[in-house]
Amino acid sequence: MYIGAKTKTGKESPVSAQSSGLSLSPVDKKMLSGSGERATHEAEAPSSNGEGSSSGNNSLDEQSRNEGRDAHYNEPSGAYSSTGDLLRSSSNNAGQGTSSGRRSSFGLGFLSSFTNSIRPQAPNVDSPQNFMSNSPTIANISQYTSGNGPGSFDILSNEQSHPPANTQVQSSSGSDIDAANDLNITRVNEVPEEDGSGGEGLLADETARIQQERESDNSNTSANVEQQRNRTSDSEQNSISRGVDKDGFFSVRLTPVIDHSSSTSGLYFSPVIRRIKPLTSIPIGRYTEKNKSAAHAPQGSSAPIVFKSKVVSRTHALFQCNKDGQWFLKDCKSSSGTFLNHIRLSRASEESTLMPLMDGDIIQLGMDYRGGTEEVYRCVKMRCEFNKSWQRKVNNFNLEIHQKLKSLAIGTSTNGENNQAIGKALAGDGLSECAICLMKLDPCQALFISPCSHCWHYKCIRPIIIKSYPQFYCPNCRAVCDLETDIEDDD
Amino acid sequence: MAALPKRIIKETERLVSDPVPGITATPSEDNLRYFHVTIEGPSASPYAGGLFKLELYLPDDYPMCAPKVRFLTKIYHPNIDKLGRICLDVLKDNWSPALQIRTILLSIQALLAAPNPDDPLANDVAEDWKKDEQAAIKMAQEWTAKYASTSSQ
Ligand SMILES: [Zn+2]
Ligand SMILES: [Zn+2]
Repeated sequence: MYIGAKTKTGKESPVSAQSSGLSLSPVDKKMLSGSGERATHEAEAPSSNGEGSSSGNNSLDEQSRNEGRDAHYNEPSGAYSSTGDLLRSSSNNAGQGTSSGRRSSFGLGFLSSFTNSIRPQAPNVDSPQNFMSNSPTIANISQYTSGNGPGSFDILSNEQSHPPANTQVQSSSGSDIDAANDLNITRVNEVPEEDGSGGEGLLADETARIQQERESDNSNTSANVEQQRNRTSDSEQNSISRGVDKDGFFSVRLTPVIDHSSSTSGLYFSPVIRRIKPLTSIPIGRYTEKNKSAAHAPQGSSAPIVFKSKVVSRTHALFQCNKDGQWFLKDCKSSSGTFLNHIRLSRASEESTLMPLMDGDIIQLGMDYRGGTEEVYRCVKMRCEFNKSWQRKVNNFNLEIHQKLKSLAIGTSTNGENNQAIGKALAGDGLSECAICLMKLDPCQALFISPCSHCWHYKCIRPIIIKSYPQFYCPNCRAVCDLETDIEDDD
Repeated sequence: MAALPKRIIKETERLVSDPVPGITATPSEDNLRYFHVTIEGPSASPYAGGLFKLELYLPDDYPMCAPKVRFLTKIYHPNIDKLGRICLDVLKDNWSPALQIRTILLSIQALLAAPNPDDPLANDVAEDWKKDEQAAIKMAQEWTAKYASTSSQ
């Protein structure tokens, strides 16, 4: 074996026999168990008093929402809404049909969050804990659509032909979702006297509202909810799907929103992951000498979130998380404003109320100053995701592709006898272990496959790729490859 | 000090759970990148019967660069100098991050079995070795008995 034996003369030595079979551990089949982790979707029945009334408020809501949307689209991001109902304000409105206040993010962000996650679907106003957060698979979604038995309320097909009175149904699929949202929101908003809980119930009320909205965010769930209205929820499933991790933390991931179509693209930053315990909060502010360590805090820490931008105030805003894993955002008297999906939360130097957040929301801190040409005067625009919703659940497609990749890594090398030896030794397990970090190669990881069919985590091999690019020197079999080789179809 | 990379933890665990015959490598208690190593002299070599102590250190950028290994036990070998430094390609320009502590130690064990006095980087022992191989082998056996015998340690 090459690695064991070769000295400067390349003399064959007795170690080869000894060392073969030592170099790699057996394939760990555990990855296959990932398929069992698919999220479950038992929905809690909504309380009966919220049921069955698609009401007249609906078109009004729709209208005011659209007005708000238009107004803010036409204005630069700095616009402050003076009409209070455009803000997601306090819980007092929760029962009064103020769906206008909560606007999900639009366009790609909305669509991708739609396809990437099945929203929690527990519109039970009485028990906010039933809120769920799952990451679904294509399989899940098709399950939903195929799960509509006879007599169930098939929102996707019925909506078009029999629009409920006053609901503005538009023809695009996106609008179907919107319409479905309104249906559900309105239905729940009909719950009488739900706002009587007063100040102490703020978080709970907000949670309930978010649940409704989350539920309504996914039209697929509507029918499902109908179906499952009488089922009781499984509290254990709920506690898993709420997204609390094994240490009892809830998590948030922030990634920069870079708008390439605009000349000013917002501040770039590496994705930030923070974890906090329920009922705690985490400050967001400007990077200073004092909080330097927070800027280098490891992913998953509870350190403050800091940005190197002068348009961010020292104490700009905060994230807060309730006991159910619902996250909130509050502007802490920032001077340049905090925006949630383009809507400013409060006037300069005024504190905002706690705004409930959901996956895919876009938060902007401050506004570009001096045109944002200088990095330090750029606003911070970020997409947020909560409670590990960004972690992909392995689906059948992922498994299948991974299986195919494994058969690609045949582990033969023709580059000389030594190479063959090491190639065999190191590739014996095919696509099972990354020779650099010694961890498994699993579905849904970013991988790099060299022309010699060896494979590593992209993150692990990247330093080697860039060191001598486009020459690539395979660490496993020592084959030298040209990564810029023309790609041709050979017939 | 930064946290120990998972790779090093894994390698250490595997050295314990699946030890290499004739070789031990134990991490130091106060520095998990520093290993106490012993290698038994290969049976058909002038080093047979000897137990050689080495030290092995994993630098910060390991596995992107090779471990640093040195003999602590005196040894008469054309590719190992007075300070115990080892002339071996896989420790230098032929290092690959796909190699591991265990493969490196196996390579060293192989080097004991197959001294290479023709290596251009070999030391003055190599000259003796080439002039009179029998005398050199005898010398190597004597040193093994004197410095590396298991009974004298
Ligand atoms: Zn890796
Ligand atoms: Zn290769």
